Amino acid sequence: MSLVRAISHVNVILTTSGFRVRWWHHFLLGLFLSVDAYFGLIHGLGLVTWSRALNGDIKWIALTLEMGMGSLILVRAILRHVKPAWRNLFVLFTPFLVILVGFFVVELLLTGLGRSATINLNISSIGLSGLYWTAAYLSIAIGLTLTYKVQRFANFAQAEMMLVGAYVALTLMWSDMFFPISEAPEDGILNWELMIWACVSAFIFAGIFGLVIDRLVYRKLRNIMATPQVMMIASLGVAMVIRALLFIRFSASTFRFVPDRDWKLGTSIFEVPTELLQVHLGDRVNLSLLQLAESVNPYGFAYTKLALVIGMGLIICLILILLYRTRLGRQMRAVADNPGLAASSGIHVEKIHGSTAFVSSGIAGFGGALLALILPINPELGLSLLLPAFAVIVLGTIGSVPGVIFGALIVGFLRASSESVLIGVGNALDRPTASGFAEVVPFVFLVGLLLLAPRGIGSAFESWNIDRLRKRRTVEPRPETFHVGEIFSLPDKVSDLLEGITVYLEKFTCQKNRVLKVIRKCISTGHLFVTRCLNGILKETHYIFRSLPTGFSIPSITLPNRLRIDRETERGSWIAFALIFLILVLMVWILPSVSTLTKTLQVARIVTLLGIFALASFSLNLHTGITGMTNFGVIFFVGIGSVSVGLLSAPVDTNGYGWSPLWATLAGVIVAAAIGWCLAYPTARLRMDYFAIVTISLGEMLRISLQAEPLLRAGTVTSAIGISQYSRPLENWWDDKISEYVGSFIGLPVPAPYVVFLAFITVLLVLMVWFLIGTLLGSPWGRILRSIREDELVSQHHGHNVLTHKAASLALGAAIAALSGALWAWLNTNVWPDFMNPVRSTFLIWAAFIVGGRGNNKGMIVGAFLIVLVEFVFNVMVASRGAASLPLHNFTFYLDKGFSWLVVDLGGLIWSDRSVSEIFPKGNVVLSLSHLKLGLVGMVILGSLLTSSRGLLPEVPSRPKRPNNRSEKIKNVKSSD
Amino acid sequence: MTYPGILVSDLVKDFGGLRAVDNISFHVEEGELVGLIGPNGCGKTTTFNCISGMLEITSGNIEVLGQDATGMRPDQIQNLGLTRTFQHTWLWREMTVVENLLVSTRNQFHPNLLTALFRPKSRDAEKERLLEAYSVLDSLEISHIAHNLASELSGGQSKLVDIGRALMSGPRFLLLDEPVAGVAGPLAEKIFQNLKDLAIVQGIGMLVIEHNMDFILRSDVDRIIVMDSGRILTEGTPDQIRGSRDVVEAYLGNQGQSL
Repeated sequence: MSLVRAISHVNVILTTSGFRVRWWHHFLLGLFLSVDAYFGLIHGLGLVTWSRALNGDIKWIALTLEMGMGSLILVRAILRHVKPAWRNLFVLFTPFLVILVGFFVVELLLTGLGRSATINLNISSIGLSGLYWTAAYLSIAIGLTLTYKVQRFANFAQAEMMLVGAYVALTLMWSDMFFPISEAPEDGILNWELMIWACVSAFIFAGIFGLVIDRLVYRKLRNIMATPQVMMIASLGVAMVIRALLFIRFSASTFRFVPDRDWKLGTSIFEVPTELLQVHLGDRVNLSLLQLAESVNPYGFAYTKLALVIGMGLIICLILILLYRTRLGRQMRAVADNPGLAASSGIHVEKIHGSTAFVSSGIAGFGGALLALILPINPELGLSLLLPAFAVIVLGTIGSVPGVIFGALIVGFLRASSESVLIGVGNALDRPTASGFAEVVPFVFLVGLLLLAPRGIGSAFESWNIDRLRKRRTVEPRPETFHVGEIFSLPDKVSDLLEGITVYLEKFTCQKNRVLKVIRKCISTGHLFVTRCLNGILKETHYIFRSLPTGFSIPSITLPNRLRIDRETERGSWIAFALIFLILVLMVWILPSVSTLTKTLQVARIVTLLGIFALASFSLNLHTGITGMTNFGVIFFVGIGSVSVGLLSAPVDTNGYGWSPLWATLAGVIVAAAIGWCLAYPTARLRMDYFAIVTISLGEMLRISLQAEPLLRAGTVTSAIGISQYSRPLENWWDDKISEYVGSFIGLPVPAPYVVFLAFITVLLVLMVWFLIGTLLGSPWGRILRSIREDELVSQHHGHNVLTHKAASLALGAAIAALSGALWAWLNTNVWPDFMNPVRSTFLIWAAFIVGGRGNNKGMIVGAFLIVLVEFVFNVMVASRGAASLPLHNFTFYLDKGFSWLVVDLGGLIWSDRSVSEIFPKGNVVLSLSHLKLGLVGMVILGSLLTSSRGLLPEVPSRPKRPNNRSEKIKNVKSSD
Repeated sequence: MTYPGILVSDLVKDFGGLRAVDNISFHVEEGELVGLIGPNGCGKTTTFNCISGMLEITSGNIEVLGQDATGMRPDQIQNLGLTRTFQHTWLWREMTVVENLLVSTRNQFHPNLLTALFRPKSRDAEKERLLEAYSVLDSLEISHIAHNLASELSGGQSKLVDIGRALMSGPRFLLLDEPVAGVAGPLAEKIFQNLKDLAIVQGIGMLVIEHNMDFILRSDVDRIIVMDSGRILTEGTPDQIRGSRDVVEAYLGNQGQSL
């Protein structure tokens, strides 16, 4: 206790003594870290080496991280201290600084290890594939940035719009009209017909799809003044639904869009002369840093890739014209600037929102159709392109179209060159699988960049531009220049044309409205008629009932009114919680199973999974619901927990560390908490959406590391991917002594399986954590966290070090998530990278969080229970396909029937039979239940956001009560009012 | 030299190429109620933001209650004893009025993760603070709305709660940004009178931005500082300001001369 007091005294002294962190403190810290790491890497000196705690590869990794961090801090300190006039220019160059720092660190590492790496950079290849990566990212990023500009939220469904476009192209390819073209024998002549049709229809179809979604979802949210955070989560729900629909219709297998056989030929390429630039890093023996290799084969740039680049280039030009030359563009920019003002100056804001949705989805669809030329398309592709696209728009400061193009160029070239760099460096470091990291290079780069320039570099460019213009205005009057428009009159003409189209569209809407009005009138008349009739019938029956003896009278239905539970009070919330919980338990009870043993297993598994999800949702609730930091990386902390538990407690002879599971858990929790705490500092000044993107990127980084990094593999002699064979807590003790006794106690014919024990531990842990968080949030500290959620600036002005409180919240949440990760590892007996896939983890936890009720821990349990139960119901349904005797067999059977009718009979009116048979070979049209589940979860998110955005159990903060001696006086005051 | 109050010397604040505050120096003593007036966009609020640590200053020096506060974070400055209010009242909207008052830290224990866990005593402290919050609300005559959500309040009530929240921290210096804008006339005068009393009785120094020229000239402030386009135009007692020709010109433009 005295320790606690001492710590809080130190805290008080630090906060009141006026200790200021000056820029040179950062500078010194950075300098110290880099110098220390330098000596550690090159000369084997320094803190890391002396401490002797780390050995082998881990030591080198630690040193590399230290070096990277040190140099980033150093650069940042310098950056923050340069003259304001220079700072903007400096910020513009940060991307290159980040890359330079990366190379510097690798060079030092290789020199220290005494190895040499040769990176082969094929100049034309990187240049041209950089361009097509740029185009691919742009296809999503342009739409993202438009949505951001006008509607002000990060649209997670943008990548799905791209996929919609891609599948429109595929469906067209399979259609009876075009299939002959794509399957025609190779004749050496490119046929453009299908290609153009596919692009145009992908644009239009995806656009209309986007428009419909905007009307159905986002408009309703706008009407209830939803925050950008809510809109972002809603878009996540939309993304899940669309993805599920695509999965169900087109299955998970990959397809390519082939507009003509000739496009696929090996000869349909441009041969571009190229040169090989070799970069020698590390221990160079008589080699220069840069070297041009001798003759290399020319690089073949496929027609399809060029098509993507040119297509995206064209559409970007059109977008720029639309934005800056047409009335619609002006209106869009006006709405982006100030919707209220735009509305009052006569702009139909909703229409602008609609056209933004149309254009941004349309572009994504167009890009998708072109991208399907190059990449084999499946619905999984979305996320792996969406996250780099976010990196792109953050780089270009969200909302600026030129910034996005700039950002896409940087990220595209980075992505194109990263593979060869990683192969070169990876070979030198005995990591031939290192090229797997290519996917995360954009995120690493983004995180590094955000550390240096927390607002992205686009804003620096804009303020630099503003300064320049202002200076020019003050220095000299603007000279008369010739009219640019005379030379480039084409855009004007196009804009005139577009304006004409806009007018025409307006007329069309007018007509449409008139028609709709008539239809509406018809419907309402019909409705009136039906209700009249019904009323008449009801009256009759009422008379009948009246004429019956009193004993038979219909009981008046006032029950719901009496039963009404006010879920916003403490008591009502508990009652509602108990009711919902009971219903869910009942559903678990009636969930079918084969025998007592399987039932026990099932229940134990449900309980454990419930605990895992509940703990993860507690963590999310603390971060997002209470402190207001939108954390999309719950799985990152969960992953840290399960990876460290698995790795530390795996046997030593298979790459593990052989710790006891309990110590391993403790270590995992502490590591996660430390990482959570440290995460607060670089991300403190990030905007809400940047924070979300950084956290989701961290999760992906961990997942890819788990795939590609040999140090994170343990449990098998062959070091296959993943961690397994680790020991679980008290497993031997349970198996030897307790299991038989417990088994007979529950009434099992065999000893109770370990899962039962795990369920028991889980329940204990959840109750403990629940109580702990409850205490914390009921204390003044919880109140401060809520004040930070409401407005952190004001909290800071009222004397709270927001940074520390956020860090504490992050650390605590991370620790809880790590605990959930440990349970996950024990339940599944192995840790595969796949479990970290956001679709299967983070998004589900978010669904639990939204449905349960933000800010309410009871809600978290209910939400987690719902998600887990849905999972199990679907498991039963999948199993029921096997035999007619199984429960739910009929239900699944009719579901499949209905689906088959939808796809073959109803859908057959739209698409060709071929588009069905390509996906469901042998005419076996089966509904993919696991993806239906994904869609349902998405629907549930959307539904609960649209109906009551506060969830099943709304937040009930513990507020101070009115003191007893005050009540008299208050009444007096009230009566006098 | 230690100085009880605030001392601003040679304060400069640039936004890009725009100089919002241009080399101003002034001081406000303990127990003094000083008005800061000036036309729109003359840098009053920017000055406040610089003093309270919200903005990084370009150059100059700020001393708060005898300590050099240049480059401190807002929470550190608040912990020195300087609390500010905002022009567009920012209450924590999803919290009740009393909760809004209870969040301030100064002169109270510092709640953090550890104390929240291990200090059951904070419950007693909490009760005392609750009573204190009520007495503050009483003095502003708004204790009947103590348990309303901040988002339910009217503009004037929000202003009062904001002042109450600032007073709750037991400040030694207050920066009030238009404290009575939107508050009904008689009440506004009463609030000013209360502030004046506080300044005299408890020795709290106050710097008040006020837009309404008539109002501030009528009210009982000790001194008035007049700003115009980033500079201090003049400084003096209300009577002196009333007679000043520069001030009239600044407010009314050149037509002021013909009046």
